[in-house]
Amino acid sequence: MIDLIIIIIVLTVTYFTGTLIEKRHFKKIRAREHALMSQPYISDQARDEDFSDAERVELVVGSCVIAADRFKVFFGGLISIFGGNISAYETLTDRARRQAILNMREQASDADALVCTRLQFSELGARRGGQVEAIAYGTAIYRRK
Amino acid sequence: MKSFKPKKLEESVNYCQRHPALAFGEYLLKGLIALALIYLFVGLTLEFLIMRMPIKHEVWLWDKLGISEQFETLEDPTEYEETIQNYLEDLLSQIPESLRGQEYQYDIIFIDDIDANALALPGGKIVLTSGLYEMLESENALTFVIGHELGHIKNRDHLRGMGFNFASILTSLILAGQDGGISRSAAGLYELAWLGHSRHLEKEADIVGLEAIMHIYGHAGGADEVFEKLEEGEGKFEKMVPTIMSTHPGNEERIAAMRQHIEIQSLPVENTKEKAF
Repeated sequence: MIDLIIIIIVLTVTYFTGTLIEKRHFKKIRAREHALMSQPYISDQARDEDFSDAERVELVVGSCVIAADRFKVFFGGLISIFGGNISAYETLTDRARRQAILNMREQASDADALVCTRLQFSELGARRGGQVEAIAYGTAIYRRK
Repeated sequence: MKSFKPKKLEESVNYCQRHPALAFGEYLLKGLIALALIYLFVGLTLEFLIMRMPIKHEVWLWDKLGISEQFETLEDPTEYEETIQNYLEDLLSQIPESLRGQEYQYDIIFIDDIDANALALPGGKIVLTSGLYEMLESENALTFVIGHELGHIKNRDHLRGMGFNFASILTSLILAGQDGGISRSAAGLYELAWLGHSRHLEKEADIVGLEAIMHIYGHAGGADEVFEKLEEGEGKFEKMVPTIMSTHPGNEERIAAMRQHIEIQSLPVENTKEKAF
């Protein structure tokens, strides 16, 4: 009974704090994406491009670890009983993915192209769930000025 | 890069745009319905089976589990304690067969404990504390308490209580591997449901207590004395605990229910008989 009251309080509090944190995070992500809008980055090798004037190439890696709040973990668990789209985690993976890509792109903000970009995910804290790491990596190409 | 065309960013399509609280509400409702169905199915099935279980098997089960062994008659009773023990045994023997439920080996134990309490142990033992004995003034109220505890045994409430545990175990097995919060919430909800059921069982046992005093004294006087005394003795903190969190209905509620029952049945109420000791 006491457990139930504590759980309801935790879920209510974490729903509001989690939503607030998520909204702020998305706002930041959108602003950063907007700032980098004109930077080319592709998953392809860009064979049709002539990079013979490349001065240097380098590997850039961006990573990000995001934890779900207790409300999301509870909600995710509830959905997994019945099966279906775990919408509670979708925003979480979207935030992790976008932030990892941004971290990677910002490291090569003055590169002329970012090619062969890849994205990987790994779950952390598998027992408790709700913690995800996204790693984005690619090759930055700098042309001779 | 020739092939790269910057474009204006749009809202992500990779996550559900539905409000999370709405989606949560939908799944919460599904979860509650599933829990209620399991509880009702297991509860009703067990209720059906329990009521058909021969009493001798029930007595054997409780005997094997050895729950009653925690309470034994006082080893070295004083003369006063022995008198009370005999007095209580005498009151118990006056309760008619029709209210007892045959085949149970009824036994009453008087124990030295300042807490005002009485309990029915599975199998037929009734325990009454010195705290409760001292608190009650009339013999009618004492008989009511004994009748109430006897009602729990006769109504097979201990077996019914096991039904709740089965439903709870089954659900925890279904939820094994899930987030701990979900299992604990389910257990908490079952506890609430059980507390509600327990309060209902208490009221049923109260009726047996009332029938016992009606049979012995021919009137319902003293039926609410125990609740009135308990209500007087309740501290501020105890009054703050909401009924929903309690195994027993509130004393005021029980007094009101008892008076309502007496009124509906038009039972006579006369002066109570003082305790013999």
